[in-house]
Formats: sequence, C-alpha cells, structure tokens
Amino acid sequence: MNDLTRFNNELEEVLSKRLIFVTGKGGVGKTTIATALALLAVQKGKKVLLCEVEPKGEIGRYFGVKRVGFEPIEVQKGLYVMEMDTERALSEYLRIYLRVPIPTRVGPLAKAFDFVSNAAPGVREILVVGKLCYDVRQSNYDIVIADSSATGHVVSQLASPQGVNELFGVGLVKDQTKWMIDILKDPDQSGICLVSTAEETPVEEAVELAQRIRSETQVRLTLGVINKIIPKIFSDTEEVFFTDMSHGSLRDTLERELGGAVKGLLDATLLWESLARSNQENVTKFKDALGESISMIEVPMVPGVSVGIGLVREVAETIEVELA
Amino acid sequence: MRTNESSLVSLLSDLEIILIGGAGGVGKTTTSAALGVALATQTPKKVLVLTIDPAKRLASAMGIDELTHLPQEVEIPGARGKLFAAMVDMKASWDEMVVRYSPDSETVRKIVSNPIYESISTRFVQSHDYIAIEALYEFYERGEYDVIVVDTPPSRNAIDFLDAPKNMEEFFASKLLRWLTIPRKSKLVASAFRPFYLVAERILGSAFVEDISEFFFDFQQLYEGFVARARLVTALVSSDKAGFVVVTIPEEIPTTEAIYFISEVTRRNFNLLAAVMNRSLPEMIFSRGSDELANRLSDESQDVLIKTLDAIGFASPEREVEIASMSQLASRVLIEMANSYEGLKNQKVMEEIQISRLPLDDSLVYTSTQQEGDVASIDSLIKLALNMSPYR
Repeated sequence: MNDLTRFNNELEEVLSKRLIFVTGKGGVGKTTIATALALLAVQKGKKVLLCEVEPKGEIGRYFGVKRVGFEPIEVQKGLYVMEMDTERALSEYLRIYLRVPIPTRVGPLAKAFDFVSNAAPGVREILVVGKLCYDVRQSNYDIVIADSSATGHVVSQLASPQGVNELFGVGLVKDQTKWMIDILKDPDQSGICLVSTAEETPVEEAVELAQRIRSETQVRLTLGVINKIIPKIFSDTEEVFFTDMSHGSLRDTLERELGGAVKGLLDATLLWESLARSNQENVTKFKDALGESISMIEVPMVPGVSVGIGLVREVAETIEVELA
Repeated sequence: MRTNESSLVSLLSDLEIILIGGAGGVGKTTTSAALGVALATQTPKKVLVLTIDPAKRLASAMGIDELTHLPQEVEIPGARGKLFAAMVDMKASWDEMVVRYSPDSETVRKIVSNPIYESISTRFVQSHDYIAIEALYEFYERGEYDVIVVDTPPSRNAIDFLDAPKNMEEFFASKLLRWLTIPRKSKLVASAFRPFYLVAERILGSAFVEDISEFFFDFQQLYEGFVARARLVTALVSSDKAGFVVVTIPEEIPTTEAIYFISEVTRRNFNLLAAVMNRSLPEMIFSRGSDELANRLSDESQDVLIKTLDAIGFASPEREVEIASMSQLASRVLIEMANSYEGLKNQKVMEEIQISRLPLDDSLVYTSTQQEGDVASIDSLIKLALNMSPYR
C-alpha cells in the first residue's frame, strides 16, 4: 500500500497529504499528536494550518498565545493555528458563496443557527469539514492538520458531505458537497490519524472507530498512533535475573547489600512491568485491528509530564524516528 | 467479604442520587460501577447504576451481556444490598418523552415521522444531556431504588448537562422557536422574516427548511410538559438528596476540567461530595530510603553497583555465566530498577501536584490505585471500590 518509491520514508508520505484528521477517544493525546505532526511538517519547510476542532485553548497554550480564534495566527514560521467556530465558518461561507454580508455575530441569527445546526443532520459537521477542505482547495496551506473531535463525532463529520449530498434535495449545500467529497476520498490528499493509549477502553473504542471509518466514510485511515505507552524495560534474560532478585535466591543478598529500601525499587519495577505487559497486549490488539497497511507509531510515556510544548517536541522526535 | 462501610460509602450513604462527572477518558463509567458495587456490597440498599455509553467489557464485568433500557440485576455474592444496571437508550427515551407530553396521538405520529426527529433523537448532543437527566428522573420517580448512581454523558463540556433542563426550558420559551415555526403558522407573517428564510432556503434547500419548521411547530406543543418536568429535575438535582462526585486522573488537562466542574457545581449550590483520583500509584512503594537508593544506583553509584554485583556474583556460583557478563546483566537490571522507581516517583509527584490543585478539602479526595490489567469481573470492581481510600 505504502508507495515508498515516491517518498524517502513513511513520514514524508504522511506529510505529503493535504488534510489530516487526528482523532481518538478523549484524553489519549490527540492535541499532542496533531501538534507534533504540525511541527514535523513545518520542519520539512511546509506551510501548515493546525486547527483545534473542539477548542480548549490547548494549542494556544503550547505556543504561549492567549487567545487563538477562527482567524489563523502564525505562532512560528510556517505554522498557523486556529480554533474552529462553526458560526464563523458559516458567515465565511455565506460571504464567499452567497455574497451575503453577515456580521460575525448577530444575536438571534447566531442563536437560531446554533440550534438548527445542532438539530439538522450534518449542518454543523459539514461546516467543520467544509472549512478545512476549503483551505485545502484554495491551497492556502501545504497541509491542514485537524485536531479533530473524539470518537463517533468525527465519523459524522467525515461522512457529512456524502450524507448531506443524499439528504438535501436541492440547495447550495448540496452543490458544494461534490468537491469536498473529491478531496476527502482521495488517499493522496486526505487521511486519518487514529490515536489511542495502550489501555483497554481507548483501544476498544479505537478499533470500533476504525471499523466505522472504513465502512461509513470515504476517508482513508493512514496512520495509527499508540500514545503514552509504558515500555517494557527488561529483555528475557534480564527478566529472569530480575525475578531471582525479587522473588528468588538473590533477594537476601540484595537486601543485605542495599538495605530494606530496595523493596521500594523491586515493587516499583514489578508494577512497571505488569503495566508494561498489559500495555503490550493492548498495543498488539490495536495493531491487529488496524492491519499492516497502516503506518504505526508507538510513543512511550514520559513519566511525570502530561502536557506542554516540551512533551510535544519529544513526541515529534519519536514520530520522526518511528517513521524514518 | 468486607461488610463494614468504607469512608467513601458512608459519605454517600445519605443520598438518593449520586452524579459522577469529569473529563472523557478518566474512568467515569468504571468509577460509577465500582461505587454502585460498593454501595450494594456494604449497605442493605437497592442500587441502580445508570450509564450512557458503557464499554462492552464493563457490562460483561457486571455479568451482563448487554446493558439495556431495562435495569438488570447484577449478582454480587454475599452483598448486603442489591445492584441493578441500566443504560439510557436515547431513541427510546425520546419516544417515551414525546408520547408523555404530546396532547394527542396525532401529534406523536407527526413528530416521530418527521425526518428531523430522527437526527434530534439520536445525534443532537445537547439532547443527550437532557435525556440523561430525564431518564434519571423517570427512575427516581418510580421509587424502586434507594440510590441511583449516574454516569454523566460524554459531552462537549462536562458541565453542559447540569444546564440541560434550563437550556431546554429556555429553548422552548425563546423567540428562536417562534422564528423557526413561522413559515408553518403563516405565510404572511413570514414575509417579515424573509431574509432569514431566504438565506436558510438557499443554504439548506426549501424542503429541509419546511421539515424543520413543521417539526418545531409540533414540538412546541410539548412545551408545558417539558418545562414542568425540567423544573422538577433541576429541583431534584439541587436538593440535599443529590450530590456530585468528580473523577480525574493524575494529568493536567483532566484535572483542569475537574476543577472547572467543581467550581460550576459549587457556584450552583449543588452538593459536592468528593473527588476521586483514578490511576493513583500506591503510596507504600515510596519512601525516603528508596528515593536515596534509586538515586545512588542511577547517579553516583559505581561503588554501590560494584559492591552489590560482587555480592551477587559470589552468591550464585551455580549459575554458569561468566562473572563479567553476569555483572553487566546485573548492573543493567539494577539501573533499570532505579529508573522504574524514579519514573513512578515522578508520576507520583505529578499526582500530588494535581491533587493539590483540586479546590476542595483533602479529606474529600479519594484515590483509587492503578489496576494491573483492566476491569474484567465483579471481583475486580469490588477490589476497585475497596481501593478507593481517603487521600489524607
């Protein structure tokens, strides 16, 4: 599947796309991964738009920007960040296509829109996807990376152009769906990066999501990331030796030489190993479900750090190594 | 089986409704189930755990193939009380609600057959919040359970569902609803709103706008029932009978969300019961002595290593490994042990930082230690529940 003849490595292939949706269960580190990919793309000299689809201000904090809004801000050379705002996306859309000048926030209309767009199938979703596709079509950026919605929601978003195309008899929205579908279903242009941690529930949800992406959307699953893995620390020989230390013949010697405090180290190591083992099982489950045609990245956890640009840079390095 | 009450259970035992909130991915559903198990095990109560979207494994952990709308009994050997579990079925709850509040069966038929209804009842995120609360009230009103533990729905914002009844009421009373239903009521008045509809029709297509208008016109007839119920629900959630438990993990973002949740619960004068820090690391691993040892092994410690290795080498002459490679192996293992300890210690420090950020008394913070593997049986849920211990 991977057309490596055109690219030096998998990373280049991934970053050659124009539009990447990063998705996964809440709390798995979608924002970290999306930002890391954006940094890597910038490193390759690309002009990048990084969009927080469900804004929590996270990306702004990474770059020390207090308020990121709908208008992209260049936070470092070549890297533009924005937060999705469906109301603003609608007024941009109206301005561009209908030439209806609509102030960014008109009270009742905005409220009406908010409700209708929630109620009407696919309206909010298509505005999100439409805005991102629009930036791709206009070639405003080399690559658009979307820190997308969590499980489930993202499927409705990605499927919305098709759904709307079928549901709406006539109307401008319908006419607009075709070019979006063309961008989304072209695997050279669009791809999904599915993120999970190596825990049971996120993996279960990710596997389910992968199936839904494949059956309900036309967007290709390109990249799997398992984030915050607790790595196994011992080789088999070391493991045997460690067991001798913790439970076997060497325990007494060890305590005599290092004192009773060694128990803390042994317990910590046992806990680490057991967590690493269950992590490994979940990694295998995730990989098996996604299949071999998809590039897979394993990102180890950094103990004691859960957020921040430092972590993002570290993750970016891991991705670069893994996809080299 | 331990039958005396744990302190968290006694903290919760006066309540009839316990709402579990927090960010996505912190283990809300599992915590709800564990609390339900704890209450049913340690008190003679009849407990219902009400969840929105459980992991399949969790259902099977409770010995149930699939959670449904109808509460099913969960067998807990030796329990003092009884445990039931049910899942809110969005579609079924909407249907029930429409039937309950519609003036006649014709209105029911019209609402249910409108294409908009389908998407409202299954996908409209804000409606999930409302339905969760509505379903809670429904079970509460029937009075079949002593306690209902509610796993709050995943939403754009953990707090949204607190405002769901109020938002629903506001929506019904709003100009917006009148706007939406104008074309249905009168073609004449509609002309005043032409710009709005022109835009709407051009974007959405006129058939669709008609469906919307039709739907909300019929929907409006549910107003009184809805509003009356929404007020009852709000009153119930803010009464002494109900309380909130917020769940988080030792990470910055979920804890920031928990802090926000706590402040919103407090601002509304709701009853905040406790915070649960999931994936906590066992305190007993760590000590100053071990800190020092790890430090010596990984940093300055050639001496310590060599001395230990000598001792180990002499202690195991039966191993047919050369002393040199043996020492290498041993030193790698010892250094990894020190690293594991320090890694977990960093994690523990992060945990303490996050706990200290929570704006509630330390005595109300409970920790639940990281489980080896996942929750796979009633036993593991019981273990998890017993594991929840006061932080201080």
